[in-house]
Amino acid sequence: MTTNVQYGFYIDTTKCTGCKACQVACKDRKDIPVGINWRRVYEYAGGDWVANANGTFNQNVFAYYTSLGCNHCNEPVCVKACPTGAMHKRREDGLVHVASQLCIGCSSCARACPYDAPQLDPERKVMTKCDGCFERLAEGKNPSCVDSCPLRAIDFDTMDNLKQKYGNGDGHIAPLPPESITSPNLIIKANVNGHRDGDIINYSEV
Amino acid sequence: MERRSFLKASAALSCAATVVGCKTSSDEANVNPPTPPVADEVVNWSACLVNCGSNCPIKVFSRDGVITRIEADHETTDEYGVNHQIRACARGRSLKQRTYAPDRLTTPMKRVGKRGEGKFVPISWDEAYAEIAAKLQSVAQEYGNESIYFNYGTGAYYGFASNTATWGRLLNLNGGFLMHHWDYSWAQVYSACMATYGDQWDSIGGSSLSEIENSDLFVGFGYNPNEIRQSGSGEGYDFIKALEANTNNIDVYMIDPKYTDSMRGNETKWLAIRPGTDAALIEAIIYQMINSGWVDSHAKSFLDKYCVGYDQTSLEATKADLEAKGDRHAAHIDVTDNYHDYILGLGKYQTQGARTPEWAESICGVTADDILELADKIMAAKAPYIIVGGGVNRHANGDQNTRAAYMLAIMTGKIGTPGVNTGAMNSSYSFPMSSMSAGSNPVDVTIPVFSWSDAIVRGSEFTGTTDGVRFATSGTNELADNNAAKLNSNIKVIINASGNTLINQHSDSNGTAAILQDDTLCEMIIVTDCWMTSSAKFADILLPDTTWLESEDVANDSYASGQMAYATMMSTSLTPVGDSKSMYDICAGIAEKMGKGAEYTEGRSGREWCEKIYDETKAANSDISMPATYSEAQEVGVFRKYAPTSNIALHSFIADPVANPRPTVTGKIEIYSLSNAYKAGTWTIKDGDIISPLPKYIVTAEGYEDSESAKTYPLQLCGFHTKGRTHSSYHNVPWLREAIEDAVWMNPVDANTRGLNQGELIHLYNDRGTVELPVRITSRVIPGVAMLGQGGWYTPDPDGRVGPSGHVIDIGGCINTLTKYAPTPIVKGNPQHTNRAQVSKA
Repeated sequence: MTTNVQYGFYIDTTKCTGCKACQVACKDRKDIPVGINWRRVYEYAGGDWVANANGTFNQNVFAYYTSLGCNHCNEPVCVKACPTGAMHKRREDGLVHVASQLCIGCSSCARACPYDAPQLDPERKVMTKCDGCFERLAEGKNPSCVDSCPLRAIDFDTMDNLKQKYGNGDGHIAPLPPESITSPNLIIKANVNGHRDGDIINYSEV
Repeated sequence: MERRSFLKASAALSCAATVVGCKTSSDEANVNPPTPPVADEVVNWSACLVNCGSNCPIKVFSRDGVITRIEADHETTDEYGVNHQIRACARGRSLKQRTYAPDRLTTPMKRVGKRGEGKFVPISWDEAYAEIAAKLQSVAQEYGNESIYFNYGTGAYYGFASNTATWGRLLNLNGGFLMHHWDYSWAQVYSACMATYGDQWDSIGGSSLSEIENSDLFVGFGYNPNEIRQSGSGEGYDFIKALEANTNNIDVYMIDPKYTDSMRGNETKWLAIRPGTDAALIEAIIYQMINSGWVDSHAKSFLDKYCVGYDQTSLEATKADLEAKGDRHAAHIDVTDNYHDYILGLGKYQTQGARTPEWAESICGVTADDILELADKIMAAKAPYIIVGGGVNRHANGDQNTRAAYMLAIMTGKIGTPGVNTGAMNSSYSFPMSSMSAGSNPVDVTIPVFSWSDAIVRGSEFTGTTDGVRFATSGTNELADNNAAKLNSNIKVIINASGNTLINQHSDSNGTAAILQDDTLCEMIIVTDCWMTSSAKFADILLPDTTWLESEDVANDSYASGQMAYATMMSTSLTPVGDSKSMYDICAGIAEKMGKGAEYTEGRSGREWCEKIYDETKAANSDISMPATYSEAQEVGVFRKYAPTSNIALHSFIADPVANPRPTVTGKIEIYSLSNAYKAGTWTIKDGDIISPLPKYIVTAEGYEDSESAKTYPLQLCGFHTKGRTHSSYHNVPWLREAIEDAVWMNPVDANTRGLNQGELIHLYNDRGTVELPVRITSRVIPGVAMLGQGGWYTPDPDGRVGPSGHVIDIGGCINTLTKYAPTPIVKGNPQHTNRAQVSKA
């Protein structure tokens, strides 16, 4: 579908230190309980150790962080997966929202999304997710996560404006899935180690 | 919560389905429809006042006295170096949950069970005041004022109603109290600085981080500002901006046991080092610098002009000079004990041998090739910026490791020039702020910050030569002779306000608990805090303090906020939780019972003190615009200004060493420390301890080379500052516990040999205790080392489960359950990171 305006995020993975200010600022805004994270910060690390006979080591260890909310995708697979129409993409700003009164809590959207953006509220049995801080946008403000970032690693704007500022970025790097799946509205500045093989090592935190 | 791997998920989702059926609009279906601003929501400026080095302003939104949300400084256009914003980290952003934590203290209480059991009954403020006043007066009478100890506490850096100003004022009106010198963070940094550069505060007088712009080589030992200084206007942000601004193609070498968040691709190379062995690596670099002839051709004239102790000639001249002056240090100088001979293995060090890269590599774990590479970089650098973080000092040999890093800077011969640092932590700009005076303390001695638990047992034996007692007037250098200082009493009363060192942030928590539990030794423990911390559980009388967000006060930028200084004029619209009161009002209540009420308050309410402090602060900051009254300033909230110049450490000394001598015995940089030589010759120290005039790699108990303890405890256990707390502050905030997991970091090699799986519960233990936590298996930590973020709250399992150590398992994850009480030889500081331990499945 075409939207009148499409908002999106920019993440600089060279600056992000994994401080989680964005995650906590997001939770404070709507009193989101532990276990539900509209914004998550993935710690991606790798490298090998070689122990030498004289007690020394050689290694090529690396690590970097990627902060993610919802990418309010152009091809939102969460919307496609939703059986009730609760998950929907707004024409006026391209934000993907949940109409909670239509949601039956089946988690189809969460299973479909390769970014873990939809987060089930187990108490209310409804899906929740990053709403792009639409009411802050209406006041002319950035989303909470953007303004909270101590490293100025997150930006948010219309995709037109972001592309003017950052171009298309460096393309998506691990641990992000290929952009072709959902056409996410997320521009990435790649970490210098973004091409290397590693693992997400903080599943307990996201 | 179980989460899928992106990579796995992306493999499964190979299709790029075309999405249809999107709703066109959702105005009627939003979860949270836009609402107009609520009229009665009000905004106040407060600040986060923990001990991370920054006091970030906090924007508090509330309604009817209850917090609705938290924001941070976002009042400017955020141009770095012009008006950049002071963005709070995750901790500051979590303050709503912290303020309303279920363990908030709401009423004064008195202990009813055994001390430390955490059983209390509510009492009235009047009862609390009366009992405390009576005890402070009777103990002063019976044991002397030296028996009343004010414990280290850094959980609430108020500009006005701070623990030191309020309690200090009260205790001084009672005839004085016993205070500590130095702190748990940097005790050995101070001793290293006083021994080498002269002044305690040279420790944080290094070149500004902006000098990194002028450098072509950055070398950081345990330097990790992006985890320790997280404020969005703090040193972490300054560090990143300075590297960004550097146009010299700067190389960045990071030496650390952990791949830290200050690296994440910024680094040229991470040299993974075993904890406590920095000096070995450094000595090998310096060996290369001397042995190659580079020092003779590039740095010898600097060493001769500005330093003492590089070679025998230098020491002979110094000894003759001091003898002629009749100086007490002269007799203790051994001229054969010089740095040149020590490094090259000559003279008295012939048997020991040269400090070659081949000698160092098997100790520190860094290969000789990497050592030589760094040595070459340092020799080739025009402007090396060398810095050593605080972690290196919190070892059994911490002052020696720190001095070694200073030596690396000294041996370049380039100190005092642009882009170059002394090895010390960088200087920060700060906002001058007035305060309420604590008055003067008639007790004329202080004890080392780490020694209070021992002083409960045998304080009356403490002297200058046995336990590092200092005269309160001895200042921030080692020019005074403190050998005759003496403590006359054991500690009988402890005031523990806004702090958790009573049990949590000290060492050997189980051992400390045993000392505290005997209430015939320390007869009264008074705790003021906002939450039921592990230290609060050891109170006899527990007093609920208001939180920052519930306080009218003033806050400066703290002590390590980088190149921008700022202040927050704090106000509040919140209803304080329960019957909590500010420390100013609490101490005023006690003073009243002592008959000192009028002297304590000088007739001022808390607000009137804030107004006075504001007026004085405004006068001291005439370079910026501040409104006429405190009330108007509270509306503005935040005031900021920038360091007018970039600091080049020791610039004036290098420009004119005669006119601007260092406050060392010789007035020069002391490679051979005269004050250490004097202590080595006159102090009584424990068997196995060493006081060395020269900076040396020292082998210690429970260090890497302690093969005896390694038999039972093969892992070195080293702490670090987790991003999810500041020390132990904020431990009780679920959002933070979720965001930054408390886990024991282990290399896959060590986890595999123990059959451990990612995230499973383990027991980390040694002779002093057992901690139960999940394991984080990660290549980010060097093999042979377990690392644990400090500050978890000591919590012996209420079910009484006993761990492999034979102690009740600490389920709070406090690293100090495993650290030892063993004051270091010179400064009697805390060797927090020198521990051995073992890990097994829980």
